[in-house]
Amino acid sequence: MTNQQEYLHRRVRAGWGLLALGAVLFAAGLILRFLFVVPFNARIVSGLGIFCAGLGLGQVLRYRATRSNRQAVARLVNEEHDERNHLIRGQAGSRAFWVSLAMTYAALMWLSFASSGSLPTPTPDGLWYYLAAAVIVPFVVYVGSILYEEKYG
Amino acid sequence: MQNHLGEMRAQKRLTQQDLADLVNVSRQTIISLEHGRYNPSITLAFRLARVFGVSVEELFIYSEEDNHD
Repeated sequence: MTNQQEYLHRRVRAGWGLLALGAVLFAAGLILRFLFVVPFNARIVSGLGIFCAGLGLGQVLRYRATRSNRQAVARLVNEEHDERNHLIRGQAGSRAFWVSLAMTYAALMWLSFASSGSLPTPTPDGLWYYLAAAVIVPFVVYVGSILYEEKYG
Repeated sequence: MQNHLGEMRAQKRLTQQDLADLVNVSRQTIISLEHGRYNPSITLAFRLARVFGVSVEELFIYSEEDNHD
């Protein structure tokens, strides 16, 4: 077995593992929801299970599709280990990190000034939207940066 | 960084995908290299030079301005 095939098998195994974890989480969510009283919405656990299972299934299908074609395996592995791809992802991650840091710092400053009365105290809804943006904006920066660099870099 | 990758690849009658397969990178990396948009790592530069049977200096043209890339 070549190193590339070995790598492929490892990824397929990881995909199956993720799929199994997803199934367990989904079942645990259902059990918690119907058999126990828990202080949170058990659908969160089931939702996480569906997410993990989806990731695992995607990985299994992606790698199994190329299994019989040696050249496709080699290209898939090359694509994943490609030094330019790693560089692009690293740069995108760095940009997203700085955006995230700036947004968190802005929120920290606002809340600090709000506690001393210099700025208005944010409403819970306003804070929620801001925190949602603090998750989404860096992600958009990350993905946008990758797409831009893939095309022009 | 300027290079002779495109010409040497054409001389060897290799496609971008063929060359990418030979040096274990993606075709997109070969395209970026040929357009001078990406500077390869030293390992990749040596792998490419070996494919064409030339030295790294014969394949890539270094100038002082490249220092600022």
